[in-house]
Amino acid sequence: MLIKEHTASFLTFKLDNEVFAINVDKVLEILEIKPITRAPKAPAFMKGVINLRGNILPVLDTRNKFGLAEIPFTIDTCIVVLNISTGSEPLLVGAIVDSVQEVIEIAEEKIQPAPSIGIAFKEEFIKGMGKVEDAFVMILNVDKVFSAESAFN
Amino acid sequence: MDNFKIKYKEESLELIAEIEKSLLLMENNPDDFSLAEQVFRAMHTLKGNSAMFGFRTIADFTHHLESMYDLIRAAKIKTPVAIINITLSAMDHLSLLVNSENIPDETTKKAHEKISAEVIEIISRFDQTAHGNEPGQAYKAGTVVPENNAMAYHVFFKPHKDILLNGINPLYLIEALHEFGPCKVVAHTGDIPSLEECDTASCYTSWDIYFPGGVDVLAVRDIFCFIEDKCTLEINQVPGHHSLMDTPALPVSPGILPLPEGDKEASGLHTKKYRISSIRVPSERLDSLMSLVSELMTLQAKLGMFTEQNSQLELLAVTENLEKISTRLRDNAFSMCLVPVENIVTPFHRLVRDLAAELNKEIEFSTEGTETEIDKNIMEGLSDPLMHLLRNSIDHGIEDPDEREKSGKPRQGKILFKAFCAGTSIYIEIQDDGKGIDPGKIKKKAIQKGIIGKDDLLNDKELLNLIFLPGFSTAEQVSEISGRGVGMDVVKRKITDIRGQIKINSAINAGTTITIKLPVTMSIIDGLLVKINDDDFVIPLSAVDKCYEAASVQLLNKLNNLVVFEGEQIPFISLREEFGAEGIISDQEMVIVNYDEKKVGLLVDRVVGKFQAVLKPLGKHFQQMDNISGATILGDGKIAMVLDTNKVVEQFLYTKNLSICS
Repeated sequence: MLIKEHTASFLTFKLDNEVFAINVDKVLEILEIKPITRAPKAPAFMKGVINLRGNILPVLDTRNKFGLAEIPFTIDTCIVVLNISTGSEPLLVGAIVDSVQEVIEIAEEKIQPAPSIGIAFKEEFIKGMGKVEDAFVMILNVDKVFSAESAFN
Repeated sequence: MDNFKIKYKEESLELIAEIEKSLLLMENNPDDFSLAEQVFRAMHTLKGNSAMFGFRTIADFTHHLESMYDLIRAAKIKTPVAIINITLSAMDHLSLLVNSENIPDETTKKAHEKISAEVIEIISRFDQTAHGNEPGQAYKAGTVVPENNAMAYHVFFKPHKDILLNGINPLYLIEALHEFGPCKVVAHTGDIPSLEECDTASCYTSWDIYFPGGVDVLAVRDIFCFIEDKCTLEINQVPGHHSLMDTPALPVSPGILPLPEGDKEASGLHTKKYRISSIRVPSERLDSLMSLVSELMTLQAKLGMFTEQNSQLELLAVTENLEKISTRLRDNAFSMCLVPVENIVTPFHRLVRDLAAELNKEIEFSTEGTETEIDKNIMEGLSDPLMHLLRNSIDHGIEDPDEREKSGKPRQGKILFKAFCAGTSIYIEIQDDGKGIDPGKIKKKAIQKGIIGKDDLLNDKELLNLIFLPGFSTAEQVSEISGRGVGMDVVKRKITDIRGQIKINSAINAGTTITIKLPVTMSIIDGLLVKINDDDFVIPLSAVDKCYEAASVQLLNKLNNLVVFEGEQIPFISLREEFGAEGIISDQEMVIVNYDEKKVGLLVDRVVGKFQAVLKPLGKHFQQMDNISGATILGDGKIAMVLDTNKVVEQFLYTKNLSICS
């Protein structure tokens, strides 16, 4: 019998037809899409801000980060509130995703390092490839994807 | 216990700063003997605190210093510069000791021994001279008088019954007498009535206290000076304290319980607490208070909006009252967060003194308006830039004494630190009468560094402002003091971070003045709520000059973006266009804002009205968006961005310039 060790839970979401995963430790909550206040002259990646119970939450466009074309919001569009750590202090950001799928568990030995060629975006964004049944999901390094430093690149 | 340690540390560092300040003053006013007194008192407190918290090393070290200043103040002599220097280095050492948690390393230990030895040597020299000239003055508080002086004091102290009601604890007074040496205290408790008749708020006890002589009778009387009319007090000098000290304590008469005594202690403590006129509050608590007040203001706005929609008389009255109270609460909470500029300036005296000495320059540093108060969060961001500016003034501004003499100036250079309040802003100025900044030199440098082109025409003011650009440093030689790669650009950025502005004025050979304009507070601003393309924006009222309906003036020349208003030509920016909104709407409104000393019109869709904006940070991601200085939440939960009008205009000009060039 196989002893399950070092498994971690991941939240999966979709961008176009691709499935991505985020470690649930990083996820605070999932919000329905709501009106976003735009910031004038901000880069397209920085969608704007929303009022999260009296605090200002910056909202970032994940599609834009991965070079996908902008599409109108649907009923499935969600804002995933993430707790990312950039340098010294933790930071809350909202990431817009096309749809949230499910929470899955992936054993550590089933996570393979990301292939260095053949992916369309920066290597440092991907923590690894998790094998779920016969498909692979990309596990995101959210600290890098949504860092404030990368916002202007 | 850790809590106490933190408090001890805070207090000690404050005391050390206070001592430093007095020392520096002492150097300039050697005739002011009260300064030695101040130093002595601060040292005494420091010693007491250290001993109380068990920091023996610090307490012993301070004890020697204290004795030294005790001698100085008693002898009423000018404090020699050598002693001031030693004390200053002792203060550095002390703050090191107070700050370090761990056991000091070898170098610290050596420094400790060296300074201690120096101080002890001074004391012994003093003692000799003092004994030779004025033996009467040479007493030392806190030490037992020499054996040959066999006089002792006997104090009979019988406070009036109602003394506790005045908030005085007689036990503290008796404790104070212990300062003069070992005391023998005999309490007379015979007057205490039986428990049923005993009023716990009254004092029934009287005391006989014996302690060694050698102190001035006035010093003894001083201890009781506040309650002389509230007690029976006899102070006698009696020979031979030894015999008295040896008398066994009187047996406590039977039937007297120690209970009332304990009660008195408690009530005494209680009244003492009541007298505390200021308290220390951790700044996180103030911050959370401020954010709560901000929330309240937002809620208040919401209620105001709701009331407007449902105008019921009772609701209206409640809303109005709530508004009054919350405004007062806000003002109160604000004033709690204000600290005088003084706090930041004190270390600068030391900085100037040491730096001037190091660079062989003679500098008189004076301050004005240091009682001006400013938000503590702003203050925190201000320390580094100010320090840098001062260093600049000392290092690059003020010339060597010889050089100054040659150009017909007094050898001693002057630096003036001035703080004042005007309108809703606080101004801080650093003036020096040094060599000033040569715009020609800046121009050469800027061309050399490729910041400006050879043929660019800039006036002197614009040239001066170039020094705030990244990668610009005019010092011909990078010096230890102000050439550490942190340039004026960092200063400017730091000032901008706290929503301040920095300006520079300079005349060759006459000096440089740097003016920093700061908001009084960071968290709430008065603003003008406007709509642009259905989005809400807040324009800080401090920047707004006037606003009017654009329909009433002819949009004179759309191509040049100029309007004529009150006989003046004013350039304007259509924020709709600027922010990339499509379509044109009629009946727009114009908000005229001040940009530098010029006026610029901002064309907005609609002016909604005055709005008190609680500034919320936008977070790291928006930090580089400098046309927005924050966001605020409106009564209906929507978010309005707060515009930084200066930056909006700057960006507009920048893009215009580019489009013309390309």
